[in-house]
Amino acid sequence: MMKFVVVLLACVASFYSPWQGICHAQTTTGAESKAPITAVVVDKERPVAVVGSQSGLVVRSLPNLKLIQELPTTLLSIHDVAISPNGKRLVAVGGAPGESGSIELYDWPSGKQIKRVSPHHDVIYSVAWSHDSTSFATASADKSVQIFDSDCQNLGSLQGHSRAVMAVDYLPNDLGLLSAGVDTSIRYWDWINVEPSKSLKRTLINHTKDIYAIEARRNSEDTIPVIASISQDATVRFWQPTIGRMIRFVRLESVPLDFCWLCDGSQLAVACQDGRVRYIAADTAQRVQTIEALDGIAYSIAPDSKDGLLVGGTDGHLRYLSPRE
Amino acid sequence: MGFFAALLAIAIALDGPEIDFDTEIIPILTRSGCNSGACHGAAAGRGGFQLSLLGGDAAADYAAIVRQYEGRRIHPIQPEKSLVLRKPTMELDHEGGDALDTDGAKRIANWIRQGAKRTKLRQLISIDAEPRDVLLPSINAESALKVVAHFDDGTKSDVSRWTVFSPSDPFATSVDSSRSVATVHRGGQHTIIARYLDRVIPLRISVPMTDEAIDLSSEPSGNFIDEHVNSTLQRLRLPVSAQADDSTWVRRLHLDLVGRLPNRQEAETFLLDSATNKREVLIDRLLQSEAFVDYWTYRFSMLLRVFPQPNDKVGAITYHQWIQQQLRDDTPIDALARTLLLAVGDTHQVGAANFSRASSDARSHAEFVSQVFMGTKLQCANCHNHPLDRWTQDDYHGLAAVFARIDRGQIVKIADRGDVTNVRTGEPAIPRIPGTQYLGKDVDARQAFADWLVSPDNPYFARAFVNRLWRGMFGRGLIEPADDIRDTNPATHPELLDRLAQDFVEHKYSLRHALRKMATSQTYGRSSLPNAKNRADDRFYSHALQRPLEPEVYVDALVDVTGVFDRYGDEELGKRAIQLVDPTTPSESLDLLGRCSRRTSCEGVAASSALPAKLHQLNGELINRKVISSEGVLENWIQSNAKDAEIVEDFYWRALSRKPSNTERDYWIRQLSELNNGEKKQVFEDFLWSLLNCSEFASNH
Repeated sequence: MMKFVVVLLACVASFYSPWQGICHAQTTTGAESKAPITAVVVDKERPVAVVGSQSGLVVRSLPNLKLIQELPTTLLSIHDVAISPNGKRLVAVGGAPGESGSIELYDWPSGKQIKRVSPHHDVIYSVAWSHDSTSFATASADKSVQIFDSDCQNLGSLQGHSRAVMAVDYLPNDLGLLSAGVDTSIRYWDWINVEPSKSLKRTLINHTKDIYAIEARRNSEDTIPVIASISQDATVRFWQPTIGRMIRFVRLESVPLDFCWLCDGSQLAVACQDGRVRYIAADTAQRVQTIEALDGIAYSIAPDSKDGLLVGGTDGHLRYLSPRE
Repeated sequence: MGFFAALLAIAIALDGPEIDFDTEIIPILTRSGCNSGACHGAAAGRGGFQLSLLGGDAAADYAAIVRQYEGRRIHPIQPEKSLVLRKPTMELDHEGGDALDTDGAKRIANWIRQGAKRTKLRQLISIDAEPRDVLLPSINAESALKVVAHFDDGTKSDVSRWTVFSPSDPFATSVDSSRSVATVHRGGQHTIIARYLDRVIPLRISVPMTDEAIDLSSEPSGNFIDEHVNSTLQRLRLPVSAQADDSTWVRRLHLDLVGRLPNRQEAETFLLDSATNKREVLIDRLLQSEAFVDYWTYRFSMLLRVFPQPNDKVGAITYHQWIQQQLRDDTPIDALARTLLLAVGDTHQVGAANFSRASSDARSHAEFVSQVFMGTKLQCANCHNHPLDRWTQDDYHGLAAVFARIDRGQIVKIADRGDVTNVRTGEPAIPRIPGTQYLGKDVDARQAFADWLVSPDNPYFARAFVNRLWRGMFGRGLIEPADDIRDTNPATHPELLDRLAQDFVEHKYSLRHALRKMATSQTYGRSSLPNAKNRADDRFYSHALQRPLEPEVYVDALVDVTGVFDRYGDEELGKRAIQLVDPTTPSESLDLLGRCSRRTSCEGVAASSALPAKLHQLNGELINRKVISSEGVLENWIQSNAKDAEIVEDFYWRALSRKPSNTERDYWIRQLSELNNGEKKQVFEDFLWSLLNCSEFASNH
């Protein structure tokens, strides 16, 4: 009864949220109002987003963020969600901290759960699909990166990080995998052509604190792949990992916690601890714009196909930022 | 909007009063040992989880628990599933074991259920603890411990349950945390440190060391020192040893005030003197002597780090001469400190300016200053708030900022700019008087710090200095180590320390006055021979403490007894070891005996008792060369055809400042009788070797 009253009051209070009517913003409701939103992904084909937190996994419409569907999940914590490039699969990762790292695979867009496996010994913080949607990789607090086919069959494990792995991504053109984490290193693995134990090609070590996210630039004409990384050291760094080079970096006023490339690869949108989103130009590493996004911490960010941004954070706050003019 | 928010607050309130992270969760972590240095409070954390040491930084701890790694450690929807609970209750494997008790786990779970907020509901103002000073009747008696916290919202709360009680000697006292009760297992005066958040209070719990009550009211008293010392002795039922005989006392006084043995004439004259005030007269004479200046220059050189810079001996010599002159003039110590702190100029001409060159940068300068002039070790606060004291990182880096603009070249000057980064904030540190106040941009920070330091109200300066002098005169500081003054390391005689400091201030910070006060006390005059009931006393001064001589004093004493000099590098022959300016002047003996390098400050170094030093004394050249030397006093005696007894007696006077006892004299005469000259020489050498290797010679007793 008490919980019902709390939920009811929270619902009513949220109706009067200060974000209401501003830039398509809306606070979420229900139990999510207590747990931070730590995973968001936007379907590039449809105006919907998948939102994950310790409260569960839901599908919301864009831009009004209305609840469309609750997806079945047993993940105690959800740290990342990703839709396959072909738009047919959704994968959610997380698990029970200190105990197990689990993957839940869904048919998309139906939301029907296909498989659930727990291959890691600690939570999974990051998941990334290959370009051809035939495999995905997971990065876990158990210090490993694992690779699976689209049916969750394990294809191999990459060992080498000395502490938790926070981020993973594929390089374009089947050039390999990247991973990064608390040991402050970014590792470049030639997973495609070499057996796992010999696949580590380079280790990049300019960050001075935990690395929270890495992502390769796509949709650009780079002859040498370019990636970006963010770290607790409050920097955003740009790299050419295949030749082991850091190109440039910028130091922010607040610790960045997540980021995404905008569609044309010219800028990054970085979600920061102070609740702001900072746009960084990739070619100059200059701040282009800063936007007040959330009242609290911005833990997660994802772009839609028109460079609108979905930002999730503290106390279940979720905000959609319309594409800039 | 306000109406609904109020309703929401009411609904949440029905789950119980809001739990305050800073004052109700942090103490649980401290009490459970989670944020100790051996666990997550370590500099690098443990298992990927780092907390501030003993909860010194609540904001950082909150971030680590609630926010880090996307809120990995708490689960607001299912609090019981939170990692921060599952690990320390051993639901999941935890290297630290079952650290969290039920009450603690329950409170943390409730806090998470309430939303795991940090609303800073209240701030701790102070704590009271009982008993502050209690005398228990016997061993194994118990004492209840109680701690009450006072908060800025006007509330107070019994926080005994969440206070950490740490016995300074776990073998002497133990604390039952579940009942907050202390038990004493050994007689003596013991300390238990009560810690709640960043506040500590030392609790003194004593048990008499003997069974029979004693009355020291009729003991003679030289001054207030004796009243304080005797009061403690009476409380602990420790009877005092007799006053030292004149020969012991005159040797002790010479070693303490002038760092050398009295020669035979000085000792004999003193013993034959029948004046009732002869001890006071001798104290005054020694205090006014040039030997006093030499010896205390040596002691100050160790403290103030007199050593040559690379390829530059002139600065060290100038510094040494400056100290010598200040002591000769009896410059008040507050004035001396102020001059050292503010001196600038060419270090070849301005001796005091070399003080700033003793540190390589602003941080080490701040550590040096706090150690020498405040008697505190500030360096822990470089990386984290000091775990055993009040110092914060802001204090440390703020004091370093006071000295940030000093240019430490041959010409010491104040640069136009200079910063120190506060590692906590990553920003330039703001100059700060530790534990007191930040200094504005318009203020001369060094001047402001010096004014504060030598102010009569300063709680550190005078206490630190008299404690250091006490250690020099009695062999043990009232606070020990002498450069580690803090609430968690209380004095054995706190009232006496305060009184000595007050007396020091009242007498214009006079070194000679303070030493005279100590030397004229009956406590100073006690024999080092314990009686049956005070044998276990090593800190309450029922008898004098026997202590090894300092390396330089010991080596000089060997020269005085044997008449054979050591050569130190290029120094002229006859130079005493205590007069050496450069601590790297070649001397194998001083190195083996463990002289102070002066790269750090030394509080009087005892000659090493390590195996290499002992072997050097027994078999090395240090003593053997002097014993067999053809230029020494022994050879002169042998060549003089003096009587054996006369030679034996002379060396007893030289080495021990006394005649040999009848037994001793008879023994040596027996050994020497009926030997030819060659054999006798060898036995005399053995005799001298024995004398120089006995503990009575090698110690101040």
